[in-house]
Amino acid sequence: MFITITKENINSLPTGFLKREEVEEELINNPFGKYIIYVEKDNPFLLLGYIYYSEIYDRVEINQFEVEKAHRNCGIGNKLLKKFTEIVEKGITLEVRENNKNAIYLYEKYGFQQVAKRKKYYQEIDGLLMERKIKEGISMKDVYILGIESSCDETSVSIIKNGCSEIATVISSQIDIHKEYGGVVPEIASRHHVKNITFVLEESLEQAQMKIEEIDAIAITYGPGLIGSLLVGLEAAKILSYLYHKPLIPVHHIAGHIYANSLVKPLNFPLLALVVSGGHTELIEMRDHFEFTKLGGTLDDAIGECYDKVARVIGLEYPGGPKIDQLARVGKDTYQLPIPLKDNSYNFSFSGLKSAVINLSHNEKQRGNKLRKEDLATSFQKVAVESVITKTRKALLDKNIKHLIVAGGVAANAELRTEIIKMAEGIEVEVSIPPMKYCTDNAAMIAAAGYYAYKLGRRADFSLNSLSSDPLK
Amino acid sequence: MRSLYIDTSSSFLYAGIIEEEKILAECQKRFDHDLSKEALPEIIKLFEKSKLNPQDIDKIIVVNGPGSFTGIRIGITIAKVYAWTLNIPITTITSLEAMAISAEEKKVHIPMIDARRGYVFAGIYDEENRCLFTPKHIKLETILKEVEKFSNYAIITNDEIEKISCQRSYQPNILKIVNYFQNKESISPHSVNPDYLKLTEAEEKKN
Repeated sequence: MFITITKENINSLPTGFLKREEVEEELINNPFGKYIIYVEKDNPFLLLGYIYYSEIYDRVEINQFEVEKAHRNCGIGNKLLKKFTEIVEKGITLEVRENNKNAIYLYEKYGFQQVAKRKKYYQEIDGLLMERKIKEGISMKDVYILGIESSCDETSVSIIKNGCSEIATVISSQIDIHKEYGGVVPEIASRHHVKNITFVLEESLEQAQMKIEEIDAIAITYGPGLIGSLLVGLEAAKILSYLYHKPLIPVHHIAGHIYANSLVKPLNFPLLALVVSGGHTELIEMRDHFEFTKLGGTLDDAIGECYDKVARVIGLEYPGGPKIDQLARVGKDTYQLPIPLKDNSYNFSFSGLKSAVINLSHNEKQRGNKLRKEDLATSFQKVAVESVITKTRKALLDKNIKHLIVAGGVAANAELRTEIIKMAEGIEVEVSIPPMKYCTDNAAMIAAAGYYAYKLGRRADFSLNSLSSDPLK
Repeated sequence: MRSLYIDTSSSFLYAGIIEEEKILAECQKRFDHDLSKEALPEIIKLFEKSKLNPQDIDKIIVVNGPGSFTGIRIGITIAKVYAWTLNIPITTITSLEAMAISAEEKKVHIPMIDARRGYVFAGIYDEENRCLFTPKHIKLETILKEVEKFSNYAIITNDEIEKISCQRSYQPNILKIVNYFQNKESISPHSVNPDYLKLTEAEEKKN
């Protein structure tokens, strides 16, 4: 005989090897939690086995599955799992010790499949992630998010499944247009966004072979960024959300950069996010999805901004950051530059370093010395990267965080990538850096972040406005 | 035949739903910097008021400028994405045409929009709304000289432009505008774009 126990009928829990107080505490702390228990018909007051599970919207996770010791190998586990898979009409996942062959055999009997291995999940033992799909071929209901990003000079639309698999991404970049002006001209960027928006939408749907009707929600970068540029994506997202009755999910641009990592592997909390881009240099601690604590940030210029300015001083074309990275590989570290902000904070400062490069370049010119561009690039990059590494390392150690993710356009910098990996290895921190294509602005990251925001129930109404600056949330 | 009209080229939202000769719902409100926030909610109210679904619209008429660059993009983006995704015929008109057509008096009309630094966006239209002077980004003095050629005229402005006598302030007649342009040929939503009548400053400096 089976009984389902929830917060409401906790009093009907029979006595046995499961303590009522424990069950009560679990159900108070876990709003998704439920128990299904097994008792014999002729002794309904003695608990013999149970499955403790969480029903989280459209999926189910088994948290615990246990049969009373003296009654094992009598088919109770079998009965429980059979009943459970019958009543739960959703995809089910669970983790099991890799060496628990009996349990794995039982799960496989009821249609569970091994989908992933979790290294050292149970202290020294690996865990197996197993999944039971609803029907043959159909997994838990897939969630498709359409993301739109237009915060700077890239018009991008992407469709992402379940926050991790890329179905389609289209990016229309204006880099060649803005190159002529030595930087992004906001009004020109806005004008191109409005011209591109329907083409980019159309192409992404064509690539995905999908209709908007099949999308579950629309995620949009509402800020921070160039206001005129943001507005085009925002109005497009709002009208689509209205026309198709799809939830509108507001996404902070930096949250997008951080969640670019979830396109590669799931985020592991607690984690430290190092955000490095043309507009940001920040260290952010995350204890859970969308729980951001800013530990520190730049007090003046962002690192990417500093790279571009230094590039201009030494005569490299916009965008100069990647070009410095290339030059630095062939140069020698011969110029003396000051290491910025050697203090105990998690903050950064790059304007002093920028000024030092400008002064150095002037002085060399006045003395009639030829500026060795590649050497200056090497020396500059060494100092800039070192400053980022030092503060990141400090934050990881102080906060005892074992997962580091790197985000933002400057995460494409080769030297930064190498040095971060080296540093992380030294202190046994697992590091995740998204592939190049997800580092620069794109809508895939917005849709990925949008998926988790959607799961958390975040919604915006049609009065959502774009914001040129806004704290990460 | 039901038409949706959208004009966000100034600090006002002018929008309406017209069925045959009747106006079912309209909005004429000043929003200034809140236009991006309020435009779509106000347009949604028009559907609610007229008890229509967005799918019931047979034609979208949208103003593509001149005027506020950011403002124009709000209306154009809403209109073009709407038309594109639901496959609804769409056409664009200029804000200056809308101003001339809305005028009551039978006169030569000179609609003008402030473009700052002594410049305006302006055009000249005769009694039958035929264009006599193609809309341009032009020095105020220059267009005023042009105006002197006519005897019986009215200058229509959106924002007050100082130094102009005998100006009328723009009161849009959405029913009249929509009826006038109802049969204007539709274009592909992809090519529905603002016509700013002015390059960006960065482009001007470069040229």
